[in-house]
Amino acid sequence: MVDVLIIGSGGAGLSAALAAKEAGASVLVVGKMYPTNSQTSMAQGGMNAALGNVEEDHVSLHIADTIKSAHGLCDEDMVRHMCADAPQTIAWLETLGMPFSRIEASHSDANHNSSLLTPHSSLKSVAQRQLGGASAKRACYAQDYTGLKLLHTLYDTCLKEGIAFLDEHFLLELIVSGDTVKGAVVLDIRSGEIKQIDAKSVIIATGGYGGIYHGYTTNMYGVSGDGIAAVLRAGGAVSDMEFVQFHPTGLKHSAILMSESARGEGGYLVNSKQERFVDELKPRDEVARAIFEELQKGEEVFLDLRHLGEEKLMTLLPQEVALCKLHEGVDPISELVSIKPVTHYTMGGIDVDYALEVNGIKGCFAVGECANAKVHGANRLGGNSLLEITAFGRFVGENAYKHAVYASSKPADNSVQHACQKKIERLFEQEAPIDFYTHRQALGRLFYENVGIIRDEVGLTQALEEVVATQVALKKMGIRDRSKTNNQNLVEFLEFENALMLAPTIISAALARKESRGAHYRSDYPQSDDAHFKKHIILQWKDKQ
Amino acid sequence: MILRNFRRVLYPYNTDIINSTTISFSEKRCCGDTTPYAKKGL
Repeated sequence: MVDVLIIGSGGAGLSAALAAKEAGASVLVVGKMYPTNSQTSMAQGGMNAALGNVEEDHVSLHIADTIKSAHGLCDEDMVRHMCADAPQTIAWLETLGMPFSRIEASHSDANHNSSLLTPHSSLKSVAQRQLGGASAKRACYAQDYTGLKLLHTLYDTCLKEGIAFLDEHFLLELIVSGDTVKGAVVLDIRSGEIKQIDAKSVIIATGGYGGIYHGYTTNMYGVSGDGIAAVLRAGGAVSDMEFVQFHPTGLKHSAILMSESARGEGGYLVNSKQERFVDELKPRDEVARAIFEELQKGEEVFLDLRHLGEEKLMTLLPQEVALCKLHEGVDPISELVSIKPVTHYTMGGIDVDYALEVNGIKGCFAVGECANAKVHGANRLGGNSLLEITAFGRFVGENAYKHAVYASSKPADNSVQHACQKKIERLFEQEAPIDFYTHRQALGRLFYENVGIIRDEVGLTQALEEVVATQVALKKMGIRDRSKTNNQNLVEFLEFENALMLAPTIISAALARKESRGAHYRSDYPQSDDAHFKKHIILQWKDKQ
Repeated sequence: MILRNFRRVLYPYNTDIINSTTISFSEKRCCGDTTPYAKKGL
């Protein structure tokens, strides 16, 4: 039995692993892919911390910007916790060797607020850039590879610390006895074996549910809300599921992310007439809606980086240039880049308390995009996601260890493992006349069109009806590859099941919220209604399956 | 009505779940006032 089992090996899971290990816990990290391939690797723009290296800044301004962007649905204490921890989090990453981009140290001296910082002198030279919705140049970055370099830094440190990993293991179910977590059952993708892992504390760090918008998201296909669905099945609560952030600048054909840093460094958004139509540095929800309205008028929308010049682009945004050339066949140094808003981040997720413990399941914690720690509210501020996974990752690692110290070491029986075994065997036996890949594609399009940037009662109700139909049809779907080992068809079907399970929670909450707030915009209720809806919407299955 | 919709969606999926699903609203942990922080800034 391990002290702390971490499910998910992205930035949040690795930060938690390091903190739990440092506290004295035995730690096991389980992931369905390899750590360096997680969604964190795709984060580009930066990580917010009010260091004041480039211009005047203060933690209180970071808090104010975050609360403003959340449109009334954040928890002030949690926001204060995250923002106040930010400078120390950057300092911690410095000690691990995170290769932040740098500025001339002398440039920072005039603006620096030394009272905020630990005595790491190198912290003064960390470069910071402007992101949308921020009142200062606050995002610390590593070119436009911030997430990737963060991930490499954390993973290198985990290996150095001897933390154990089980890669390519897919979460099937959490094991809960009474109201307390006892471990998890996972599928070893490589061997096909169903394994039970006993643990005193479990941390879910499995990422969001943006993959439901299949084909219309910057997320990879595997971001299917596996951990959120498992928590829901196990009796935990989910909240604010209707809040899905659309990033203004996905590449038009591939939906690959063009980082906000492209606009932060001075890029323009222009329509077919080459006219600017919105302040590019407004919060993401406002910019995404402005672009969507231009597209509705029949205009094409472009990201214009040409005026920044080759030297600046290749120094600060080399990945953007490479992605444009590789996936769209355009060179942003000399050409306009055609873009559209696409799903980027899900603010809702597993409902957690102040210790990031799941409401409804003791000893089970959640962190990162899969969790709703109530720091993003109705709209996440750019640069706060990498901060959240790192700052709260460390916090949750410590909390999970504290729980493990007093938790029972009596393992659970193997009834959940048996049930999972039977389910997988059934999948191998049953016929699958309906191809689920077609339905996965259709679900993505349905969500983009009906549960997208602009929503209304008619479209949401229609989406609900179509989800019903898909769930009915699910009985005739399944796997066609009968291989026991390395069966990607099986993994993708299980992911589709999870996404389909979460689909009605998103639609039901979006229907229930008869107002517009942050990323949730209802054309039939275009105004905010604080009197009725300055509230979190919480969904829970009281009786477990 | 919304709860009914949610139950309808889940109906073909798992009838045990349908009868025990709850959707609720919580006013706790909501904050929208930036004034104290904006004033304190710098």
